[in-house]
Amino acid sequence: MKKLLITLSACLSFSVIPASVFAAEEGLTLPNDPMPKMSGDFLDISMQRGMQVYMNNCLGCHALSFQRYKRTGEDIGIPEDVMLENLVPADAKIGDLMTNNMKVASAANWFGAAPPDLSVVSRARGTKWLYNYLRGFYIDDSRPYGVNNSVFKDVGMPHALETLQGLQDKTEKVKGLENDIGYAQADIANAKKQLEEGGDKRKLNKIISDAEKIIHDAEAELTAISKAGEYFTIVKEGQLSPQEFDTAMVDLVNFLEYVGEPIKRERERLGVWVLLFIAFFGAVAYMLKKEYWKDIH
Amino acid sequence: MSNEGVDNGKRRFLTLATTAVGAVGAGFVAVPFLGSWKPSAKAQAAGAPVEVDLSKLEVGQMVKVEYRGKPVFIVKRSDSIIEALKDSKQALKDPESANPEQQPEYVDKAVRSIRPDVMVLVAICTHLGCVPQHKKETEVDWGGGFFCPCHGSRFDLAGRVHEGVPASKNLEVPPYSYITDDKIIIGVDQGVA
Amino acid sequence: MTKMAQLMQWIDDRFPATKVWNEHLAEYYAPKNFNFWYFFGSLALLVLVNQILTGIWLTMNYNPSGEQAYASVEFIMRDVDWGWLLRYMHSTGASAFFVVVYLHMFRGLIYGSFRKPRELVWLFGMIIFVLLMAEAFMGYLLPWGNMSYWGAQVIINLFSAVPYVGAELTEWIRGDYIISGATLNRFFALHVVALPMALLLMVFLHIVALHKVGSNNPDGIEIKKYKDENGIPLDGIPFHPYYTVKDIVGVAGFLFFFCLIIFFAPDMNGFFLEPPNFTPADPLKTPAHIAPVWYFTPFYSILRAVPDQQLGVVAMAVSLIILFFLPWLDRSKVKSIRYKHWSFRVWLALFVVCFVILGYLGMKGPTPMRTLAAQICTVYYFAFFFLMPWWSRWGATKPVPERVTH
Repeated sequence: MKKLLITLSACLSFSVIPASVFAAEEGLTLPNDPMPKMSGDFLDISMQRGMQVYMNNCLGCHALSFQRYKRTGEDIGIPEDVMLENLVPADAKIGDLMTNNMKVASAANWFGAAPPDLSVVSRARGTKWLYNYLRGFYIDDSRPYGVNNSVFKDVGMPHALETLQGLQDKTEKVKGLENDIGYAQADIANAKKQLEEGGDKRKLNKIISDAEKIIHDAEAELTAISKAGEYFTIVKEGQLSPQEFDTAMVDLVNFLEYVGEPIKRERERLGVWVLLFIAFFGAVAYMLKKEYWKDIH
Repeated sequence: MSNEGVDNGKRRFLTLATTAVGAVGAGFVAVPFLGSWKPSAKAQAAGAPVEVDLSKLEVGQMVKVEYRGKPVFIVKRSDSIIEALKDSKQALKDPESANPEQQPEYVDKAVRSIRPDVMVLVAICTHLGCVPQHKKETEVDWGGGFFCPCHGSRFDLAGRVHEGVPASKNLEVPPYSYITDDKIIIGVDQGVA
Repeated sequence: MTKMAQLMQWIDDRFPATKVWNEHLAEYYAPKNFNFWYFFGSLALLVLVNQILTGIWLTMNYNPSGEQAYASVEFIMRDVDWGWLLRYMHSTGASAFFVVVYLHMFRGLIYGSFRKPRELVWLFGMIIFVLLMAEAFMGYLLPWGNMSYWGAQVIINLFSAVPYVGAELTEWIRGDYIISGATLNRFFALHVVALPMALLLMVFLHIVALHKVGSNNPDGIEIKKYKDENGIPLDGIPFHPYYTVKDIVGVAGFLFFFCLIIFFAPDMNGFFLEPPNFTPADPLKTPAHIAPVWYFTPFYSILRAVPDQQLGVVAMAVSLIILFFLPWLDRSKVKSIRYKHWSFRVWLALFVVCFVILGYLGMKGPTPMRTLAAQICTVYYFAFFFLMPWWSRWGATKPVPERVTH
């Protein structure tokens, strides 16, 4: 019995190890805020608003070509007539897949890469990544569409949500700190090169460790700034305030999470009954076993 | 081995109990396997009801639409044809639409439609499944209707099958209803919201 | 005679039904001291049945073309009634298969179940293990996600290490210049038809071989040595009803954890369904980090630990092949860990630790430190087996009882 429990807890402990085991060792990206957890009716309402955001701002380029309107309405609580009037394109029927008319080849031409279908993006990237990505667009004149993204560097996507958020830029403080990090990294690269060429080991190693400390401290300060919500500053206002926009992004990500696996709620609901039944069956089977094994013991 | 008496009654009960619970469990396990054979959401979407606009349909004209993969004929009948149907001179196998499987109960039993001027029929011969041809009453000498080229079955303009042909049932009338005076929807019963 | 008895007589006159029932169930005498480690054989059979049934059902809606495969999986997940459950039963079942099989093999390791006269049982089992790895590898390509694609790319490219014919061989396996729909389609045929048939055959032979010599037990002694006046081993009990009834409890326990995962964590935090596989296969874009599914990672680690590509492939192959020789490597006088010298437990514990560390390292990207750790563990892995003829004879064994203890 003890061996059983040890083996089983060893196996189950795998579930505690997060998927970051698989993550490439990426550097720090900001913002890095957690998604608020929602459930019940609040979650339904959030998903409904998220669907509206999606249909208005995203579907033009990003299809959800594995998901159907009909079941979406049923699952997140939007009646069919409301769906048809507000959320389903004029030429589509309620049973249709949520496709768009973007041609892959043209899109790849315009954006550098075709805007991917987002049906399972939530399972590929995770909700936290999505939430921060959507809030990470900032002004960058060097990019073709004038924006860059602090979570996905040099992304080809324009700021589709500009009408809602407006435009933001990194604060001067943040720019200064990132500048410091840039110089420190250059110092390290330089020093490493000189080390290879046979420079003064002690001096160069000190340069490296000093620079690493600068980077470490700067990153810690940046993280604190981001947590305080002061990483970006609005340069051009949109329809929503920063807090309203954050809420809209929570809604949007909740919607995408639903689309990623529409059956999730039902699956967990059924699971409770399944486990209860198996436990009951196990108890009966165990009694049977004990009875027969009286012969042996 | 233990030498004590074996409680056979208890063993039988427990075996029965385990088997019974196990059988219930097996029934539950069968549900996803059997259920997955039901028409998928894709099939259901493709099988969704079809709206047909009748505003351009002229008397004597026939249009063909598809519902659930099957051809459906919609014919506009003239008053004289409707009269002729009511006291048909042809010998028919099922003149009063006695077979309940061939039409919904809300259609008229003789002319087999909701409104007499518009006939809706599933265009599949009830003999062996070929698609019959529409024959106007002016084209043939047997009153007009539908003629199946495969084995010669004939149906009148209410889809009723003639005597002396291989088919034995009237052409099927699908569920349908009027959305407006000019528009019907095939696949939704009359009276259903 | 009752009607039932008459029917059975009719059948028995034409087919050895009752004979088989007796020889392999009602009068197959198994040692009475089977413990927790002895559940995993019947559980492996259960998982095999699960994979075959859910697999057949998935095939009803899956499309094995490069263009449609990925979409057909999402179709199953969303549009097919209960399709999501069949999919999760199959994906969780694949991982469950390896958990069960590794534990089943571990039982063999600790109790000496591979020793004479059961060498053939072990060999057939090893063949099943290799077939299972092939089956899982091919199955993993089928969803045609980006990890499916690139994982297959890496492993198939290993064949280019074969001298002289490597490049042609690799192209022949792929059926194309790169991994494409041609590769997918043939892997589908092998995964759905050929390998399951081979697996079923080998499982059948495995059980036939086992029943010929009789099962081993935790004490590692031969129960057939002492029989009663009817020829029944004194320490034997008929498999049916005692072990049928006990194995049902084992099944319930297993199903509990199996369903816990299916219904509450089918992704298993990225171990069973990896995030990169939720993007379609893209020949132009490698995932940031290619790793095989968890059950292959120990062997993948060994492959990467060796700095030379060809030698790495050889090392990985040898790490599997050496297992076939186990019956002849263990030279201890006794079979079971219970009566071996305590040093066996040390060797075995270190082996388990190394195997787990190799598995963990196989999931991560290589760094100098990790490569060193993998190399150390690889050396130990090989030492465990290659040096076994010597270390297994070291130290005094404990006296082995004549009759089973517990």
